[in-house]
Amino acid sequence: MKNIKTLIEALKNFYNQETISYPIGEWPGKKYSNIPETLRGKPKVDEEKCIGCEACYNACSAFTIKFFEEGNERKYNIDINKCVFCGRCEDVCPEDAIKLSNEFELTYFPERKEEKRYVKWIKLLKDCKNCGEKFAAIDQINKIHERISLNINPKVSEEASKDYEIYSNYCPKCRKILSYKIGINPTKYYLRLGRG
Amino acid sequence: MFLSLKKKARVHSPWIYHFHTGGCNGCDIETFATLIPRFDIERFGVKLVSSPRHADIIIVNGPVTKQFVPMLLRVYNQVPNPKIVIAIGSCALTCGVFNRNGEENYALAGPAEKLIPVDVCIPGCPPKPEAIIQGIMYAIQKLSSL
Ligand code: SF4
Ligand code: SF4
Ligand code: SF4
Repeated sequence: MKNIKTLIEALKNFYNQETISYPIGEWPGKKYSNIPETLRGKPKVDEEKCIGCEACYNACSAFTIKFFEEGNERKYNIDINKCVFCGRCEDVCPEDAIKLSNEFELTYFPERKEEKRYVKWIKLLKDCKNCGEKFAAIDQINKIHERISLNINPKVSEEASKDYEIYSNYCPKCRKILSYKIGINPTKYYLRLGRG
Repeated sequence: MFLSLKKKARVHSPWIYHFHTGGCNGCDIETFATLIPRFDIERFGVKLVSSPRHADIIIVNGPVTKQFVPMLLRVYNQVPNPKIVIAIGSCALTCGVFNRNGEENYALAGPAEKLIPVDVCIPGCPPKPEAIIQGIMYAIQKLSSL
């Protein structure tokens, strides 16, 4: 009796193949790819969409997203070697610029590491009109402008957007002095709308 | 003739010695997962051996802790030439999560790359079994060119 059970099991497994094929390849003569959609692989960045807000840098759990500033460029760099594929960067990115692709073939020979190891992208920075310090990425400033004009009360939106154009040329330090000097202060909008 | 036969045997059935140097065990589990029937790396003739003296390929994972340094060097020297070293996981390559933001960790003697020459790197924390299969194919490719 026991032997028959074993035999049935063996016959069942004869037709149920346990080994799975390699997710991408060519067989028979045709290319196939059955990588699961949810697989978390190498992070990929859409340079056009990225606004350079540093949210991914702050959220990265393995401290692998880094940036350094050189001239008027901010150079971002992800070291795949350290990434744990947690997807935190994807979660926090406000523009969906960074995404974990399902590229899992990351093996490389150490002598050719530059090709595969790093994910790099560059954002341009804006100079302060007063002190010349570089304070934020140009795209980020434009994006904030866009959001402000979308979300603010239409009664004051035109004025606010004009003020923002002046404001956005200065770094946070100079901005304080400026708002004292020429009297642009966010509270005035509240006063206008009767909520002061 | 004997040498070419030896080489052929080596390429068609590389024996692997797996060496753990103090990681979180995630990479070991994935390495063994590639050996089970589901991923079946044994179809390429790969065999896990228990002594470095029988091995052609040595798999290192984990951020080499200070206590493991003499052992790692000893095992590395025991593997007969030609040998291939595969570093698996972020730990073996950069110390990964044990080395925050590039600061030195008092317990670590640095990644494996610093101590022994690494031939193939497989990033991931832990790398997927498919990625390990690809890495071993790379290693076999390198073995056939030696
Ligand atoms: S997936 Fe996680 S570890 Fe990798 S870059 Fe994104 S946040 Fe950092
Ligand atoms: S937009 Fe996304 S990818 Fe760009 S810096 Fe911000 S969080 Fe990172
Ligand atoms: S690379 Fe990640 S999974 Fe592998 S041993 Fe290190 S911490 Fe664990």
